Amino acid sequence: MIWRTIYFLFEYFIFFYTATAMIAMLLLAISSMRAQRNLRITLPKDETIRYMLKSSPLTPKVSIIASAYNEEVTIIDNVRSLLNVYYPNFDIIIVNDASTDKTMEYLLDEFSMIEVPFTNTNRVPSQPIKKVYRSRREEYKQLIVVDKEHGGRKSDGINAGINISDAKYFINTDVDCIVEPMAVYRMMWLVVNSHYPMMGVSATMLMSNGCKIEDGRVVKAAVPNNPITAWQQLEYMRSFLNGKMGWSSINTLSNISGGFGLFDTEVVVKSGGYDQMSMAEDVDMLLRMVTYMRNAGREFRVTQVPQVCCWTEGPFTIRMLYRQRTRWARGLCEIVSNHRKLFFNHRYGRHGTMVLPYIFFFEFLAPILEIMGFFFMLWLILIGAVNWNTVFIIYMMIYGFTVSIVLIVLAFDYATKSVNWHNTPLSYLKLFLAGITEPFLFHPFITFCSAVGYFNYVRNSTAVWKTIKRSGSGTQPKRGGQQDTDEGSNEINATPANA
Amino acid sequence: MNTINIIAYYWDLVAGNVAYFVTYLFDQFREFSWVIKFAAISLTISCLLVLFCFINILYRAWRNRRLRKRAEKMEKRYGEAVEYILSEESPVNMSREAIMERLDVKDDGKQPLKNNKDKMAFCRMVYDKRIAENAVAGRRKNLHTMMAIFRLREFLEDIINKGALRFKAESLIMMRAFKYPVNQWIANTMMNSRRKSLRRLSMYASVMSNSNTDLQYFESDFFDENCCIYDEIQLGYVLQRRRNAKRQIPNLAHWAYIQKNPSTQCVFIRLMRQFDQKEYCNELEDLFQHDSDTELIQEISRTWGYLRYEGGEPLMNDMLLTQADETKVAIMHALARIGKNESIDAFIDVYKHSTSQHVRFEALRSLYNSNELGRLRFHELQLAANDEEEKSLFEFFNNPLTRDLIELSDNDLYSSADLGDNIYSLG
Repeated sequence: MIWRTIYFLFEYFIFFYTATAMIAMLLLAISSMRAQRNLRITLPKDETIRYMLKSSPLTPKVSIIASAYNEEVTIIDNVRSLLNVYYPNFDIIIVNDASTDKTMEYLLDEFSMIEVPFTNTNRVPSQPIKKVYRSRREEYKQLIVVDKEHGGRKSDGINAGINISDAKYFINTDVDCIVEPMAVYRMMWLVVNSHYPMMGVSATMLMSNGCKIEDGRVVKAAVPNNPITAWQQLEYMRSFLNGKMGWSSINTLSNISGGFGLFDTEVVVKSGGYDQMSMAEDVDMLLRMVTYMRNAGREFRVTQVPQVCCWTEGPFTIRMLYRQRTRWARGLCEIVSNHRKLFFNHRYGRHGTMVLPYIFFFEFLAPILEIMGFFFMLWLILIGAVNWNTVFIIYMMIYGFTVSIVLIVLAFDYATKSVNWHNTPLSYLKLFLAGITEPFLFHPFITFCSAVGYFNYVRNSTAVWKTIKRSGSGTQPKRGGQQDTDEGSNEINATPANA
Repeated sequence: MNTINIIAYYWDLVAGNVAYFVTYLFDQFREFSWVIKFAAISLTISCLLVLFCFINILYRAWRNRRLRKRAEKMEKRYGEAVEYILSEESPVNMSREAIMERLDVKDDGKQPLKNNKDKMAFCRMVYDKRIAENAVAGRRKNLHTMMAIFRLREFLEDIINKGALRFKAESLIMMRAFKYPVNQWIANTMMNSRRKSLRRLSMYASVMSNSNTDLQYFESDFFDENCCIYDEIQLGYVLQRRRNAKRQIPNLAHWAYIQKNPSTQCVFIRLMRQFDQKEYCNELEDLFQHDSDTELIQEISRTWGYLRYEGGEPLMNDMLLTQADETKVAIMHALARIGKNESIDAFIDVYKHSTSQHVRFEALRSLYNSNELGRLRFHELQLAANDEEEKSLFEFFNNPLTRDLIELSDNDLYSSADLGDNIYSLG
């Protein structure tokens, strides 16, 4: 009798859980359509934005902050990529987190850097800054290199950059990212036009794996042939174009990706800067900013740019992907644990009543329920209690829904293509194939990684940031060695939450 | 009649199949409770909606593709000629006939652009070329003659009057870029839009055209409540236009005084630097003394410093030691720019009593840059420096490579405005 009751309760719970998740996805897709429609009305063309902002001395200053640790293989090309950015008033702050290789030497040599005066404002906590360098050459006048003591995490480097920056806004990025030249304009246009204080702007990112890169720019984009990166590409697109755009339309974005995101410096400083111990520092930062603004009774906006602003190199082996996803899962546990006071707390607005519950139920619980469901199904098969007709209909419905969401995302991509990235039928075919195979191959693996991550978190084992391989971003010339060690700063850190 | 029969037949066929499918689905859930049935129906509807969304987006994308093809066709037909007409190579005031000849258009009284889509595509092409890097703002008469040949000004006005919201906004932006005066009644059609950005756009269109009442907007409550960085940039262009036309620039200090929102006040105070309004600096004294907003105090200090307003020096000296670190730095830089001997002791006080290395360094920097006496006192302090921490503060002042960076640059506070040939600023 007890088993029968448990069986029925579980069955009903799963059924309604799935139905709610699907309806939430649908609502996000509709919100995303609405947000994109609004942007089509109010967002001018790239050239217009550029023309409007570039001539004005009143255009706000932006600092692009990137933390580097043992990046000798790609550092020069990546800094050049950052220097390619079009914007009239910006500086680039590269924070060297006490690299043990030749990262610092290459930077000083290539860009003719000299030591300059600095005083650490210590607005946010970071390891002590040893020296600050600027370039003697006019063409690199925006470049600032900060040499600091080893902090071990990307967040420590970003905090050091914030302490040096004097800009009203800063962009947090990774040195391995290839930035679109118009990216800062696109993001700042939303800031400049907002009637409410714009606390942060999230940028859409895609995989640079498989792209042709010359002089720090993506000259030809392509969907990676490697299925692991192709699945991730699709996941990123779903997260940014469907999830985040949807959340953005109701001002409830919960994550500005660590790969490329713009923040209001003052709000970040008042929220205490990045948490140096967090495994999901990007989500954590935004939620703490929301908490600060709500507690202070200030209005704010957080929004998402649908156009591609940045290209990042994704894990291309199972092992790398496993490490990344287990780390993300641990980060998710930390978020759920550290920000539990926001749950269903109307004081924190929609972030408390909608976003945190969504993260908890549909992102945190999902892998647990999926694994339970898998074993439950096995048990039902063993005892012969399965109505195969019903199973077939439900599975087909869910599979059909999943594929429909993939189609919607591809259609979004097709509709928004401001830069004509996936403009060949072959690219869409690859992505569609990735979409129809994802539920059978990629998704179970990610679920398994999440479960391992949760288990590690519960066991309280120390997170280990291991060496990752760099492919050197497509066709870029390489310097130095073939491999670099990573303690956070060059790990692929973009967390496409709300996927 | 036949057509109706055919439609009715296919409708029956589709509706019958859908009904059969729904009945089949419903039968599958017959044994379950009504709650499960409800959930199943909800899911089915969700799936159908998702498919609908997909088809909708695909349709829009297809439509955009068609627009792009139309634009390409227009570029092929007229692109080169338009580029020439707007370029520096063309005569300043081309005749109608010459332009028609360039465009290969006959003067037979017929409209060369067949429909509204072609007209819009042509306008977009001209707009793109106009705002492109190499467009010359001075060829406005050529532009207007060319637009008159195609009767495009009337077309744009018609869209603003009757078109969909998206096209209204686009047309208004184009009219501004083409330097057409936008009548008040046209701008009024968008004044009541629920989208603030569109309301603002229409206000600016009106501001650019009307010479008598154009600046009232900046005194309005709407501006005070909704002022953003875009407004600051646009106001910069509007005032630059006036300056280029040798018209008087309004008293920005007065606007700062009458507005209530500190961030709006800061916009005007920052712009005072850009337009060298030293004569109105005394009107900020009341705000400086009685307003508690730190951002406002900082901006006033920077403006006084940049404009070398000596009347502000005693007020800033009085307030220096009681302010927070960031405000202290802003005031010290302003005092250093004014460069009076009375400030020297204040800098030394800050250097000796501040706990923040950053503030101490900035105090030394201000002392070093203030005047001869300041430099002298700086060297005395340097000789008297005992511990390593103090010595390190002086280190960069000795290095010839970095000494330039110690100087206080006016560029940090916006150089005197020269907005170049931006089409938004030229009259």
